[in-house]
Amino acid sequence: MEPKKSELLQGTLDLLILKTLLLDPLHGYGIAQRILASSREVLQVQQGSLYPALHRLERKGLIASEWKDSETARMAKYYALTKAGKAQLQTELEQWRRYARAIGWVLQS
Amino acid sequence: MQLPWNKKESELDREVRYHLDALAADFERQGLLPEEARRRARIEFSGPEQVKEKCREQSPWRWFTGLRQDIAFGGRMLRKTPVVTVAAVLSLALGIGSNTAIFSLMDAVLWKTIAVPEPKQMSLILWTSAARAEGMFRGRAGSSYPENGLRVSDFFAYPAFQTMREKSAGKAEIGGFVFPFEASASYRGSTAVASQRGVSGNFFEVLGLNGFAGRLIQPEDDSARAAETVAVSYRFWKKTLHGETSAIGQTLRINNKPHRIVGILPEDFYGLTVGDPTDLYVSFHHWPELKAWSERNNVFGDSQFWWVQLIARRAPGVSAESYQTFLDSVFHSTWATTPPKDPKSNPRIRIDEGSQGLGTLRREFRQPLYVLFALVGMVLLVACANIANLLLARADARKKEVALRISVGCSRGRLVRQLLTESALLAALGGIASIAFAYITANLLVAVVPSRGPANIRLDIELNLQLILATLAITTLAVVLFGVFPAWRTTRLDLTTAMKEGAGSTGTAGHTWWTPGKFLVVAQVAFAVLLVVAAAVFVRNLQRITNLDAGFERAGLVLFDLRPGEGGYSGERLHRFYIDLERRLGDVPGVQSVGFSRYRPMAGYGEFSPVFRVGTTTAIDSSISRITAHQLPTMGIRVLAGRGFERQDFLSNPTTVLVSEDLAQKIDSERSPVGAKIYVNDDPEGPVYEVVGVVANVAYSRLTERTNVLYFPNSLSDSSAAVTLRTVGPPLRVLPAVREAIKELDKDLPIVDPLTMEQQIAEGLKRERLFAYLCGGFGTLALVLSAVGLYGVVSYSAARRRGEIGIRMALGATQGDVVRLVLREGLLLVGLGFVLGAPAVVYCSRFVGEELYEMKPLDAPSLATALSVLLAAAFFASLIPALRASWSDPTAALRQE
Repeated sequence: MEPKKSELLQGTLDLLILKTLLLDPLHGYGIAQRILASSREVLQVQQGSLYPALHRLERKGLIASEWKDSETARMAKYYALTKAGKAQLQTELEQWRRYARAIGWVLQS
Repeated sequence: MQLPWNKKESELDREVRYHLDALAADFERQGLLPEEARRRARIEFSGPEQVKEKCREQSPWRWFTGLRQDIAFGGRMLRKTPVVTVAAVLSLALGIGSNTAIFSLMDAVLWKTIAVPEPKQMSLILWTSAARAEGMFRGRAGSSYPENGLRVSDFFAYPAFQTMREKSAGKAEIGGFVFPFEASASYRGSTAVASQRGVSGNFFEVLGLNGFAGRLIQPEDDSARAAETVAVSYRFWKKTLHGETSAIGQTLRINNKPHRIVGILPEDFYGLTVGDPTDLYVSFHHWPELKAWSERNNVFGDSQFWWVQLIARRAPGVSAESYQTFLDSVFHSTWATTPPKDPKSNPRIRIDEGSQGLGTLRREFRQPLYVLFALVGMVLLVACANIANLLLARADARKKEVALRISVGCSRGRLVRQLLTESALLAALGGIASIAFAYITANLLVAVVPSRGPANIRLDIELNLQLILATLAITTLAVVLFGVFPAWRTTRLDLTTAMKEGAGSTGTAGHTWWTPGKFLVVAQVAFAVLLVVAAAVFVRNLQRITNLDAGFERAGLVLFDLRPGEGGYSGERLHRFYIDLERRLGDVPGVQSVGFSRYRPMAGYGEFSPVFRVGTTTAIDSSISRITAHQLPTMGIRVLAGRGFERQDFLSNPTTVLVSEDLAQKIDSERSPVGAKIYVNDDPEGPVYEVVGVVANVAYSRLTERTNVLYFPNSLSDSSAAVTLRTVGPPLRVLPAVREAIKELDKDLPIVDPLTMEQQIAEGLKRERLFAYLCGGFGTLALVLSAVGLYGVVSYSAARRRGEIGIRMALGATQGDVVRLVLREGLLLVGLGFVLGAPAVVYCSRFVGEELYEMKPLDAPSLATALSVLLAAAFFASLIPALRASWSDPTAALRQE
């Protein structure tokens, strides 16, 4: 049996993608793997839903893409955070923290 | 190179594939077989195609790829119903195409300005008179036509031209010109027929034209002492002078006289009027027709010879009105010494707008072109109604599909867009086809535009950019009209009813008798009534004219012209040539008899002059025919009283003439005019002639005109002659032998325009044919389109009533009852169309009277023909669906409910 994995909360995928890309540019598959690893295998990104999100973020100008050699020596499309993307990440992080804190308060009361 | 939207697509594909491969590789590492790993990867990825579709929605090319899909889908839908598609595209193409064609013709004939700088400054100088201006001139060349009770004339005496020119200094500059005549022009040994116009030395200065190359005719050229020079049109230079600039300075032989080519006219200058055939411009003093005339008369100095036509360029700030007032007083002073005999005639100057050049063609074709345009507009309406009907019916047939799409979540906007795309596709196809059709039709139209006068009209019709844009605009409008309405109607469906209905049949519930389709068919029939009546009237008009009695024997005649004068013959030699020719032609096997005349009969032009009985001053308008003794028997014209021409009439200074029956009647209404003395040309001191015979009335220059004819003995001294041959057997078969016979006399003399008399008559009926053919075509088109429309609507209605018909038949209705039921519906629509069309026919008949020859526009036989054709078409269009409905199996129909 595989360990039980949690579905993502709606609206958090964008945040996770932006955060993941903060370190270095990654391709779609890499992003999914990274999210899975850094959430200690708890957050399972629906592989398919990743791409519409990536294309949406790219259209908004928050990330940019480039074809590069990947680790498997095949060309892959790498996404990198743009300046606007970094700024957006800051706001969203801020929002998320406030949100989590508020949820925490409610649950603790 | 890859297009951006394609690049996007392939990138998306590669990106997704990379992910899938990486996932599969992971699963393989976990120990799965490659096959299984791939499957798992696809599951994990949850539908690669759906993911791609979601990504595409984020693409900036989304609207475009959507459109591509719409078009591809639309194309498939159009292919699925090929008959409807072809019918719609054809309707559009014929409707819009024929409109564009007629419109191009109107543009070319009615609205084009002549290609000179500042055309608005140009004025035509004419004069009007209330009555015949007798006494003012002894000889004239030019045209005059009646307008609003006045006679408008375009010819002036040369001294008057000079006076008006001098007095106008500062106000306007006046140039003179004459009619173009045909001449033979040879350049480096090859000869072509070309039209030649004589012009005053300042003519091109007045027009404001400079040569494309070289110079044009200048004042220095216009004197008897100057060397003979010629300026040629651009098209002549391209065609006959091979487009070589070295042609300037070379010699062009015009009617065997060497002329130095001084320059080429600008490319866009097509002449003084639309259709102007002029290729060669020479100065007045070197214009051969004038030279021949001036040998006997002082045409430059004598104010009794009126032959110059005038065009003026007004100085800036001088209005046409003020110039007219000014010029009228000058004009008055030029003829004050020889006033008209009838003071009531009151000759006045009239200044006409000159920006469009001469008005001959416009005057003749304005009314007919507007009539044709109105008719062709109706054809377009009929075609549009047809398309609307086809699209409506198709939208109806697709109700179920549309309902299904809406219920699975397709937005109405998206659906309307899809349906609009289909209509646009249809319109685009129709638009393209219509341009092709217009191009062909316009060229056909040019071919049937009639020509009058010695030179042919040359008309270049171009489908210019504006016209193509106009066509596109009409097409777009058609799309909006016929796309939006059915689309809008379809999307407002009641989904549940639409889904419940079967694909082919529909329930009897909610059956409304009055559908938009029926409304359109009634309108169509109403227009078709008008068009078919027009077709019947004009076709009958042509038939009647063609079968008119010409007064002579039409069959078995050959006509051709000879121009020995151009071949260098003159004087006694020319006379000899004609006499030899007559004998030789008479010997040709198959030729029964030979006659000569000055101008060829039925050519649409001729010689006209007033005739007076000695002792009177009452002018009798008459045509002049100068013939040899055998011309009357050759043509088959009967001598009614007195005698025909005989040998003694052709001795020097003949004084005998023959008159037609009508002319005889006018010379002396009581007694036979044989023996009566007459004079011509308004010249009582001139020669007096004696009438020696009366001959039958004949058509002289056109089949529809019965003029008085005065026959002179032909002196056989003119530079050209028309030959008439009566043949045994097929007329044109004698031509090779005739050519041989002429060759024996002179191997270089060509025979010009050989035609049978029937062909010659047909040439003169071009305008009537134009109307008959076009209206016949439009009428047929409208008839077919309406029949198709009616057929569609009745079939559709019968299909909708299938259940009802089934019940009726189950309850005992016979097949005959069913046929009657369906037929009644169709014929009722047609009846309504008739009722609406009839007043339109009566109203429109007022505008076509002028085009008909001795026939009322509401001609009973034509109306009867039109109505029976329409009824027959309507009957068959309704009968087919009626029969089909009656053959259907009632149980099958009911089971489908």
